[in-house]
Amino acid sequence: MAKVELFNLQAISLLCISFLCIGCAHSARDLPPDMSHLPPSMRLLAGDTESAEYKLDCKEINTALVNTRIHLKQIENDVLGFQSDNQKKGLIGITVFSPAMLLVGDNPALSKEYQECDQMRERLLRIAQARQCEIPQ
Amino acid sequence: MSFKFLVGSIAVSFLLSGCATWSQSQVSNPNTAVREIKQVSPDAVQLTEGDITSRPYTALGDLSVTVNKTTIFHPEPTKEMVDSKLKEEAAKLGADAVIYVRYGTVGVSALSWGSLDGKGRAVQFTGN
Repeated sequence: MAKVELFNLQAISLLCISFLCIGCAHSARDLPPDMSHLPPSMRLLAGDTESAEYKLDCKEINTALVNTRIHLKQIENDVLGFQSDNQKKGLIGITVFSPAMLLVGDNPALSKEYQECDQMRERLLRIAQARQCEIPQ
Repeated sequence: MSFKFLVGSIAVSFLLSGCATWSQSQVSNPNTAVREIKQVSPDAVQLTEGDITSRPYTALGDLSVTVNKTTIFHPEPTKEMVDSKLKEEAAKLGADAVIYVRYGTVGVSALSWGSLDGKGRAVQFTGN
C-alpha cells in the first residue's frame, strides 16, 4: 500500500512538473509591423517619438545602446545561472527525490527585465536608424 | 511492477531526453506575391538586430525558431545556434537577410532541458 502511494506521489510530481514548467523559457517578443514601404526616417513605432530616448542625440543614443547591450548580457548570465539551478533540481527530482522537481521554477521578474531592456535596445536602434546615426557594433 | 517500470521509463525518457527534434521552426505571414524562390546559401544570409535602411527590400515572411537542449549532457542552446537556424530557414525562403533578430530567454520546459527561441523577418533585397 505504501509502495503504491509512493509511486502515485512520483507520478503526480512528474505530471506536475510537465505542466508547471511550461513557460520557464520565455519567447522572443513579436516582430514589429513591416515598414519597408516607408522611408527610413519614418520607420518609428507609436510611442517612440514620445519616449525619453527620442530626445537624445546620436552620441547619447550610442552610449545608451552600448550600456543597454551590456545590461542585457548581464541579465542573460543571470538567466543562465537560474537555468543551471533548475536543471540541478530537475536531475535530483528524477534520480533521487521526485518532489524536488516541484522546486523547478520560473523567474518572471528576470524575464520581464530582459524583455524591457530588449525593447529599449530596439527603440534606441530604431531612433538611431531613423536619424541615420552611426550604430556601434 | 511492469506497469510502474513502463510509466517510469516514459516519464524519465521525456524529461531526460527532451524534445525528439533538436529544433523547431515556423514561418508566419509568408509573402505570397514572391513566386520564385532563389537559391541562397545559409552562410550568405545577413542577420541584423535592427532594420536595414541602406537598401530597399521585400519581406518574405516572419521566422520563428526554437533550439532545444536534447539531453542534460548537451550544451545550453545559444544565440549562435538560433542565428544558424534562422539563416537556414531564411535561405529556404531565398532571403538575403533576416532583420529585427530577437531572442527569448533560455529555460527548462516540459519537453526540453533548455530551450531558446529566436525570431526575425526574412527579407529579399530589391535593389542596390
